[in-house]
Amino acid sequence: MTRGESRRTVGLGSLPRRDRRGRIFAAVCLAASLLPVVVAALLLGAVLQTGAGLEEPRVLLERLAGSGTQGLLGSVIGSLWLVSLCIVIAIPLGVGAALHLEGPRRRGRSLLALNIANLAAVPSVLYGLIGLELFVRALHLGHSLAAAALTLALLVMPIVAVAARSALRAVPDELREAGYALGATPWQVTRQVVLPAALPGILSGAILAIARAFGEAAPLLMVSGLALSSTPAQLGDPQHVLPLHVFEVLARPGDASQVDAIVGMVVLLGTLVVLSAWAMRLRHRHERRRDGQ
Amino acid sequence: MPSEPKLRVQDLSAWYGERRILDRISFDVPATRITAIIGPSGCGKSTFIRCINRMHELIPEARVQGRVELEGQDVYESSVAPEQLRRRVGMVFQKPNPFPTMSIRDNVLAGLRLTGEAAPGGDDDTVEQALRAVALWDEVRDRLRRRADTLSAGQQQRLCIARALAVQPEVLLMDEPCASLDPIATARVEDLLGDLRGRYTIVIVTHNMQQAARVSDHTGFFLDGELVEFEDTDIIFTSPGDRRTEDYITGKFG
Amino acid sequence: MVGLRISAAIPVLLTVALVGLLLRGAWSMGEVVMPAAGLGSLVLGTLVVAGLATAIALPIGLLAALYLGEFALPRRRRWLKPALELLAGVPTIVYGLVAVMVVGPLLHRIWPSVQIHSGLAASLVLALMILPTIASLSEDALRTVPRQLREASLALGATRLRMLWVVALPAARPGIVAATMLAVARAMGETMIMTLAAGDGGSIGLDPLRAVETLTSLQGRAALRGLHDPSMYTAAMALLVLSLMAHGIAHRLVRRRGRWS
Repeated sequence: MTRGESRRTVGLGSLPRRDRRGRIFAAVCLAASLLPVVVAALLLGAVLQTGAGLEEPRVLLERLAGSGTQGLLGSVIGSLWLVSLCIVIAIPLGVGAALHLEGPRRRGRSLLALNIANLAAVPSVLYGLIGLELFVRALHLGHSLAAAALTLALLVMPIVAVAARSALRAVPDELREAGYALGATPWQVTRQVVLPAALPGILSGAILAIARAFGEAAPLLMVSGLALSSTPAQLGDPQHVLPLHVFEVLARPGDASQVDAIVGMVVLLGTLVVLSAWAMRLRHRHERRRDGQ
Repeated sequence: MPSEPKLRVQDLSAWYGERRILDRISFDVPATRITAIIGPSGCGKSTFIRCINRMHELIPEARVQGRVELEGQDVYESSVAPEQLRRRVGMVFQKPNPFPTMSIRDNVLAGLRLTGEAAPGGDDDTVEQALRAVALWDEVRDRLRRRADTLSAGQQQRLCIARALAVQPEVLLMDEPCASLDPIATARVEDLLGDLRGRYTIVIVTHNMQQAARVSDHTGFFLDGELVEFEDTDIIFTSPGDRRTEDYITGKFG
Repeated sequence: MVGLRISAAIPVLLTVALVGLLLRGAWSMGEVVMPAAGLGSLVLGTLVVAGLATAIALPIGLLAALYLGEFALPRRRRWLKPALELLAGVPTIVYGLVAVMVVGPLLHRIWPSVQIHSGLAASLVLALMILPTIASLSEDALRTVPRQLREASLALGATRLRMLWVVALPAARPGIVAATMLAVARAMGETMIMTLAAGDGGSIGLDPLRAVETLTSLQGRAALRGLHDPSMYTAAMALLVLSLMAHGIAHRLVRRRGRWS
């Protein structure tokens, strides 16, 4: 059948046949994109089932509260301390780097951007080694909370920097111009006009950084002196943080029951979900406000 | 009729990179009067007023040559800090740009806050005075703490004018201030200009000839970076001296 | 303003410090200490596990990217994309837990020849971890394929599927490869999962059915035992090299066009 003939005889009949292949393909793609979500949910359910009787939130909370400061509860508190300290260090550093990058053109700017990109390429465990050599040993901080917080701050600083950078970029030039026209210096304009306008974006970057710092374990392996803890963990010990606690329960099955690890996992996941939802809401609200103007 | 010009422009030229935007502009801006700058788009009007308050040089590849004198002193002299200049010469932009995260009240005070100055006579008085000057006081007196982006475009623009006035400048530069406003809001801003006349020296760039004719005392016609003619508004619109001015005004181009 | 310069200098200092420190740590008593199992087998172990994970995650991730970018209705996309992003943010210790508690025993029950602590279990879990990365970045790559290309092929009478297969995917290939490289780098650098799945002294062979010792699991277990093992620095250096290589490839692929495709 020549082309001309097929064109004449083509009616609605021949179209669905080709369309069906496309439709099957689309269905396959849908399945592929749902697969990770479904698998994750199944795995989560399976884990909860392993720790029998943990399906109810109430039971989880009781278990958590009852574990005391040397157990799971203590490690949650320890995590909170560590993350707070880390964030207090990381936010100024990250915002500072972003301001530097977005400021007037200077030599070495692309070098800086390249280095920040490089840092993202470094696996998190190597941050642990940096922290070990630099903070624990060279600066004689020992296996302390300070060393751990500094190490984590290095890890999450690029997250804050990247978010801050795009938030600063998104501030419309007209606002800056208005500031200049009123006779303000560049620094005054930055501090009082640009930064407040960029705040939602910076904040959502900070939240992502918190979420990351809360769940990181690999750097802390190196920095918090895990092996040295033969004595039960006290509050304020850098190794007494949630992700490490879960790790220890799994890696050295001993007295602690595996259920502890599962409860810890639930807390980690719950925190992640809450923080992510918050960051997303901030982003949406900021975008909506910006478009509405 | 005031004798000393407030601003004196002498052989002002401006470039953006290799492209020349203004070509040896020279004229005097009389004090406490309204001077309009008209001309087709791309003739350099906006660049011109940005050269007066040294905003043009904020663009990376901008260059300026010539003199701009404010009461006899060259604003481009190395001893002059641009920030100081901009306190005496304020600017209102084409699109209203209040600071969105600040309240109405804080926006008015923004010029002072940004530079760390205290408001002469107290914050509340300054806010009220500035808002009255732009005929906005009665409309917003009950919601001063509300965010500035809750106002309409016309109100926002008047707020921006109030913000500029709160710094107590001597000169007010306006870059097509009514371009993004509807006719009613435009009329209110034009009325406002009539009130400000006599207290401030105003230079207003506009692409709307009728507005220039309504509002200004003197008018300058720019074309392709040149100042073609500068005259009393009445004269320029009834019997312009230059053929090009006449063509533009009668709508033959632009 | 001084503060800005200081905080900006940190990434530069870090990169330098990292290399220096690793060299110093590995250079113990005048020679670079090699891991007991041999650096080569560790590298191989890392590559095998990461490679297996990527082989599983790539096709699925790519199909998911196609769905999100081409076929998804906005309503579904609005929750699906954040859900996948959420998966990418899950702490890796959770993946490790899942590997040890569920996936390992499950595999062992189905195929008894697979050990409970196996490279296969680790790879499966790693695949789940890197899949959102591949999907998200590949979607970006597809999105930057110019409209004109797509429209031209559709105007010639091609179906959606054919247009994607013949025109869009090849055009997005550099970006997709870059995405894959980033995912591989992530899989190679993952420590918690590997330390748990390596069990007690992994095998020296490449058998994914048994526990596999990798560059990262060596470091993890060194940490557990007291951080006295200098060979962990050697392993760390090798890991850094591999990681930078993978990122370098990705970077060059993206930079050549200035975009993701």
